[in-house]
Parts: sequence; C-alpha cells; structure tokens
Amino acid sequence: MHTTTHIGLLVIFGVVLLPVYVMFAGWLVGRPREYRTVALTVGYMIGFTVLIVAGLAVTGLVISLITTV
Amino acid sequence: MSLDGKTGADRVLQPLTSATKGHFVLLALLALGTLWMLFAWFVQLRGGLMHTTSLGDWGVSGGVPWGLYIGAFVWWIGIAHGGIAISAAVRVFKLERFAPIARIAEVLTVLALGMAATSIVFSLGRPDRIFNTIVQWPFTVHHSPLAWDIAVITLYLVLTLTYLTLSLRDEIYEIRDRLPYWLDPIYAVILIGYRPEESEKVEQLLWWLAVAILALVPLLSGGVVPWLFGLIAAQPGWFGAAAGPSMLIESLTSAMAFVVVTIAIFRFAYGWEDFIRDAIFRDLSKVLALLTLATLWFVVHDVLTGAYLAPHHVGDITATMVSLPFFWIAVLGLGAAFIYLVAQLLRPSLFSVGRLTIASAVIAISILNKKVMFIVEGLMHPSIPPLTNLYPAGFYFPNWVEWSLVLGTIVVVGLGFVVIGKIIPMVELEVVDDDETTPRMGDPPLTDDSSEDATRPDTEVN
Amino acid sequence: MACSSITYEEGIQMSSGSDPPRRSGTNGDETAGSGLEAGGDADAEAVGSEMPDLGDQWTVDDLDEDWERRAVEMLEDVDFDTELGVELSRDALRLAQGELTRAEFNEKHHDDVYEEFGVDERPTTEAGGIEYESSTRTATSSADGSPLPSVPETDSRPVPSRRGILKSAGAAAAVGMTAGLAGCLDGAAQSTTADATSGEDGNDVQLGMAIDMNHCIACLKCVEACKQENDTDRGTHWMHVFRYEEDEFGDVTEEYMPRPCQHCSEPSCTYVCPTQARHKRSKDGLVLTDYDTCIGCKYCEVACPYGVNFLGKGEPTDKSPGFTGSATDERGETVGGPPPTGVMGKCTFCVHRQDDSAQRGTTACEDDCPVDAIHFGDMNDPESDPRAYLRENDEESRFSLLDQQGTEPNVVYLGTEPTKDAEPVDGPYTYEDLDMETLAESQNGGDGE
Repeated sequence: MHTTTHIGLLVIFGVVLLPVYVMFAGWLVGRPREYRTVALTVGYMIGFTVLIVAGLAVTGLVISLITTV
Repeated sequence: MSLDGKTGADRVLQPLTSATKGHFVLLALLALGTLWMLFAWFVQLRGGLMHTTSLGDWGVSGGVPWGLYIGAFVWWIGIAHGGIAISAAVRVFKLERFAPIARIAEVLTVLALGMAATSIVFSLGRPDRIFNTIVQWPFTVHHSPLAWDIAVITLYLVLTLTYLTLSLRDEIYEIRDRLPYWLDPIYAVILIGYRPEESEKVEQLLWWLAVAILALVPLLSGGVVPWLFGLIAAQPGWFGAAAGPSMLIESLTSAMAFVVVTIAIFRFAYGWEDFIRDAIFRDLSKVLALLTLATLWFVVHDVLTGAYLAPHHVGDITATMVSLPFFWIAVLGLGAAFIYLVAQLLRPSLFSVGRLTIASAVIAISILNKKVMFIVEGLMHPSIPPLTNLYPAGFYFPNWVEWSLVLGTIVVVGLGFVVIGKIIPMVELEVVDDDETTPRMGDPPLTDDSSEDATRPDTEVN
Repeated sequence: MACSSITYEEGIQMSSGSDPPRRSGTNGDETAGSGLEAGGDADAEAVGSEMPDLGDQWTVDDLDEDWERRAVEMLEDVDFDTELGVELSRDALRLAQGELTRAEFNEKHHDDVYEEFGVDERPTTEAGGIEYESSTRTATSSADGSPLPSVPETDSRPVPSRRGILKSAGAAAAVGMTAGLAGCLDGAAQSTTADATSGEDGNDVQLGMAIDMNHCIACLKCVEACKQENDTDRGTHWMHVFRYEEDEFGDVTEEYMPRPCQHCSEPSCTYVCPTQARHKRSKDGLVLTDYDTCIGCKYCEVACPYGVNFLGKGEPTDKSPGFTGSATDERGETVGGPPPTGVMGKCTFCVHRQDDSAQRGTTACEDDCPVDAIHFGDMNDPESDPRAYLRENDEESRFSLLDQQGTEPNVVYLGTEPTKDAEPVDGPYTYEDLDMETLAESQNGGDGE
C-alpha cells in the first residue's frame, strides 16, 4: 500500500526539518562552544514536546469523559 | 501617560504586581466568553459533530464536511507567524525599532498556535481519539499531509516556547525579587539550571533559533498547511501549486494585522505610548499595505484563471465564488483597508493608531472570511464532472455552535494575554531601560558588544 | 449516425474473427450512439455458438483464408475499399498482439486511408494528431496473457474528437471508426507489455465489481438492500444510483449509474488518513475503516473524488432490523456494519460477508439486483463473475469512473460514462418512494437530486 506517495519522510525530514538541522549545527559549532547550555536548551525542547503530547493525551481523555454517554 | 518618576522597568513590571479594577472587569468578561465557548463545545461533544453544527457530508447529502473550523485553523496558523516572525526578524535582521513589541508578538504566537490546534479538535468527529494521531504518527508521516501538519505545528510550538523561555531567563533572574512570590514555581521552571555566565551562549542559541523559526514560516503557512488542500486532486477548487504562495501571503497579512491590533490594545491598556511609539505603527502599516496589495493580487489571479477559458469544473467554482456575498465582503474589506493604508502613507495627517487598528481588524477578519470561503467553495462543488453536477451542490452556513467556538478562540487568546501579562513582563526590560532613546533588543545585561561580536561573527554589531 | 459507418463497424466486427470475446471491433465510445442496441450480449452469445471460440490464443496466423473470405463478403457491401478494410483488420490484430507499434500501424496505412476517406487523423510519428492516453494502468494482463477487463479511456481527449468526426461527415465517420479501433487495440497492445500493475503482487485478490448500466433500471433495490444489510444512518447511501439525462444534440436519453465505493487500488482516502484507520486490506483489496481508530477528521472524505464517505451519525433507520453480521474481521479490527457516531463509514463491499464462508463472494446489492446489473468478485481472477461478465460482453463500451484521477478504481462500468453535462433527474423511483430520502432532499426541499 502507498507505494507511490511515500514522499512524507522526504518532506518532513528532508525539507521541513532542514532549518532545525542547521540550528543544531549552529548551536554546536558556533562560539562560544558551551555544551551545557545547549544540552539545557535541548532539554527544554524535549520537555515542551512531552508537555504538548501529554497535553493532547489529557485533552483526549477529558473529552472522552464528556462524550461517553 | 507621564513617567511619575518611575523607570520604564517599573512601569512594565507594574501589571505583574498590582491589578486595576479595569483589569478584573476585562478578566471577568473574557472568562465569561470562554465559558460560553466551553458550553457550546459541550453541546457539540454531547450532541455529535454533524448534529449540532452545519457541517455535513458532501455527495448525496449536499453538505460541506470542512467549514468554519478548518478555516479558523488555517487563520490561526497564519497569525501565529506574525508574532514570532517579527521577534525573530528583530534578532536576525537587527530590526531593533520593533524590539518593544517582540515579547507581545512571541506570546501571540504561542496562543495562536494553541488555538489552531484547538480548531482542529473542534472539527473532529471523535475528538476523544485525538491522541491516535500521535500514536500512529510514525506510520502516517509517510503519506498523510495531516500528519505532516501535526509534526510541523508541534515543532513550531516547541521552538517558540523554547525561544520565549530562553529570552526570559536573564530577565527573570534579574528581577525575581520583584515578582509575585506565588508564581515562583513558574519562574523556577524558566530558570532551571540558570547560571549568569550562560547569557552569551543563550544569545547565540536564540539567534539560531530565530533563523530556524524564520525559515519555518514559508514551510508551515506556505507549506504543510496549504498542502493539506493543494495536494488533494479530488477537489479542483484546492488543487494546485499556487495554494502555497497565496496562502503564505494571506497568512502574513492577517498576522501583521493581528499584531497591530494586539499591540494597540496593550498600548492603550497600559499607557505604553512611550515604549510602543507611533513610529512602530507607521512602519507596520507600510508592511501591511504591501501585504494587503499582494493578497488582492492573488485574488485577481484566482478569479481571472477561473473566469477566462477555465475548465468547466474550475469555472463553476469561480462562478460560485463571485456570486457569494461573503467573497465580496472579504474583497471589499481588504480593498477599503488598503485604500486607507495607502492614504495615510501619502498623507500622514490621516494616520492615527485607532484608525490603523480598525483597518487592521478589518483585514484580519477579511482574511478569515477568505480562508473559510476557500475551503467551503471547493467543497460546494466538489470533485470533477460528471460527479460534480450529478451530486447536489453543497450548502453551508455556520450555526451558532460554530460561531461560538471560533469567536471563542479569539476570546481565549485575549484571556491568555491577560493572564500571561500577569506572569511575565510583556516588554523586554532592556528596551525600556536603555534610556528609551536607543531601544535595544534581547541583549542580556552581562553581554557587551565585543562578546556579542564573537558570538555572531557574520552579523553587524550594534 | 451515418449508416455507412455502422455497416463498416459491423464489418470490422465480423471480419476480425466474428468471435464474441475478442475485444476489437466495437470500441467503447462508438457504441455510445449505436452500440447499445447493436452490441447486446444476446448477439454475442448467438454468434458465439456458431463460431469456434479461439479465446485468447488468437494470433495473426489465425486470420486465415476462411476468415478473409468472410471479411471480404462483409466488406463487399460497403462503399469503401474492401482490401484496405481487410488489411486494416489484419494489422489491427498484429497491433493488439504487440507485433506492430501504433505508429507503425498508422503510418503503414496512412496514405491508403487518406486516399480512401480523404482524411486520416490518426497519429503517426510525424504528426501528433489525436493523442491516445496510455492505458497501462487500466489495461492490465494476468499471467496467462488474457486481457483483463481493460477499460478504454472514455474520458481522455480522443472521445470528443472522435465524436466530432462522427458527427461531421458520413464518410469521415468510418475513419473515425478505424481511429477508434486503433486506439482501442492500442490499449490491448500495451496491455500485453504492461506489468501487472495493481498492488505489489499481481496475483493478489482484488475484489471489485462489473456494473452493467445498460441493465440498470434504477429501481434502487441495491440501495435499499445495502441499507437493510448494513443498517446505515438516515440519509446515508453507501450505494447510490445516479439518475440522469444526457442530451446529445436533442436526443435525450435517461441513464442510471449505481455508485458503490470503488475500492480503488490507489485510494486517495488511505493516503491522507492521519491514523491509518482508513486502509486497504491486503487479503482481498477491500478499502476499509477501522472504526476503533478513526478520529473523524473527514480528510478521507474530502480527498475522495467519488463522494462515498459518510460520517457516522448514530441515526439508524427502521429500514433495517439492525446489523447482524460480524463487525470485526479476522484481524480483530472493527470494520463492518455502520460506523459509530463521529466515525467515518462507507461501502465495505459487505466485508462481513467476505469473512463468512457461507456468504463469501456476495454483496447485498448484488443479491438484490433484479436485473443482474451488479457482478461482484475478484478482478484479478479471470474466472471470476465480473471478469467473465466483462469478457462475455466485450462489445459493450466500458469505463472506470473518474479514471483520470489516478485512483485506479476496481469497479468497471459497462455503458457510457456520463458526460459533464449529465443532468440529474428524479425517478423512475425516488428515495422518498422508498422512505430513504437524502439529507439534501430533506434540507433543501429536494432541489438537489
């Protein structure tokens, strides 16, 4: 299935995420080279991602409480 | 408003420590509006999507499956760009005259993205299963444009929140003793692992974050969002390569307009005329005039392509479009606003922040109107002949539930601003501390020019 | 239509073997005007009983003297060059067998055809002329080399242009025939070289339908049977019958086209689904919705060009005693019967029957059709009901609905594809008659249908 329209990976990881790759490279290569703050920032990003995903899960859960008749 | 012997920082911090009666009235009104929205949503959740709204199935039923909610989704995504893009541009292109509005713009982005996601949830038949999109994402990202949207919106929100947090750290650290103690947990999160010597690196991180965010603008509002529609071969009203560029321009137009409205309200509410000066509005009005013209230019393309020797099904859609009053309301709104914007540029005496705010609001609403029209028109004459003419033409007009929910998202953004305005300073303190003569943006107090130069060798030093 | 063209057409038909199952003489589009009466399946059967059915083993060598004698006899009655007709027919078969390319075919006879008819619009290498859309997608071939129910691309450009020729002049009409024939055979020629295109594995089961619109009387029994079987919501019509009028230069005909889900080989709905709820079952190629996963975003509905999707509304009608089949298939996914409220549903080709050995290979609509218009089965199996039916009715024109959308539908229609000017009409039976009014009818006062 979906043999011909498998371009999603390319679109997301090849095109849309390019600026993010560049950003990470800039963080790591750019001066001052200080990886603690970079790690901290990545930690924030992961934290926010988890927060958003968890928020979505909670939203679904709350809605399911309302919709279940 | 006079300075009353207070420093700029004092006045920016005042909303965090004290509240006026007007503030509580506004809070109550916005809370009431939000409650109304929640009630309408409750009605929709209990009653079922297609029972309580005007949405229906296209085809035999002659309905329109995507309507105001999806239009609002696209609109909010567009508005989200205005905020963070201004802020990022201030940092990357050193547009420091806009520095005073950067913080408000960043917060607008966070709130608008939240409302975009909420609008999608409104539109679902089974919103309780929204998490399935995350569970299935690794498998659907191959092929589903909606999975792409989920990825990019999440990414954009994460980048914006990170940007906002990093840019707050120095500031919050400096003024923590003047902040309300009961919000300490929030400040503690913002200051996780804070060390004063990190400022230089944070500034460098922020610069690259800004670059990434700016680059993502055309990939989100001019990319995955229009691709939701432009890639769908089944709907000739949507299909096409121009959806990306035209939606990007529309999005930026509505974003700029919404930013003008937002900062005008803040300036009015807090008497910040001396930080957010008229010059900022004048500059924004020039950008807005250009963007509005570009939007109208795309409308001309759209109509002409569908009116001249167009294939039947495309011609039908265009004929319907120009026969619907809402289309002309949108065009007239944009046209009238554009005429005002040009007039006040040519004759500065016509300029006033109030008029500009009205014109901007008209533009923002017109773009929402246009986005909804784009979605609904396509689905009123869905598919291609012979099925287009064999099925009944679609009919759609949003009912009170849909209006309540979409207008409710605007109210929630207002509520969000009122609440967040009590938690973080809405103008960067460096901007107002620098004697208000040379507003500077974002540079942490510990960073001097020479170190900044080392951080960003490619950029010009202030 | 000019009578000479009909005669010529019949000549070709007879001459190219007089064999019922050959897909040659009557190209789909030419039957639009005349073929409905001329090319009935009764004819085919009658001829078939007299003539030896050489099936798919035909080669150019089979066009022997006996064949030529019969062909000449037929063509003698025609005003046009008999020898040329015979030659054209012979080479047309070689074209079909892949021994000749289309360009070679067209060029070989270009001068003669031009001389005889004063016009030759068939494309040769130097002149583009009419462009025949490639049929590689629809004209597939299975391992034994038998032509699949290949579908002349009635929606591609050649149709109007050939029609135009037919209308313009009697003599030129015959050329149109030849051009149409070449176009038709071209599809067959390509089919022999084309890969088995459907899916990764050409031998997979792909359930589908052959629907004979010439049989359909729009009694709406299929719609009713579907509703009874699947207990769909009020206003939801997984099976729908288009009833419309075609006005061809004043000749108004009423036609009917039943529309189930097309269970496409390249379904756009599965591509856009953000949860994999809408999927194509590998076992038999059914396009199904996992009712436990679907979030009701309606993206599949807007991405489908056929309008077969209906969001579950939890409003069963009293037409049905309730869904009695198994909603769960053998993979444990909930795919059968009416979807829950807020979940997308559509025709499942009665998936619960396909998973039940007693009812396998049937659908409710097929069972209840009083005129045998619906033929359901494996489109990859040459012996299946729809494939056999398509073979038996080779003279009838056929099409896939909205084929240019690239969805590769697995429902093949016998009949003429509705044109863009088809005007929907009520009747002879209406949904109201059967107490199954559509939502459009109840909301818009019935002006839609």
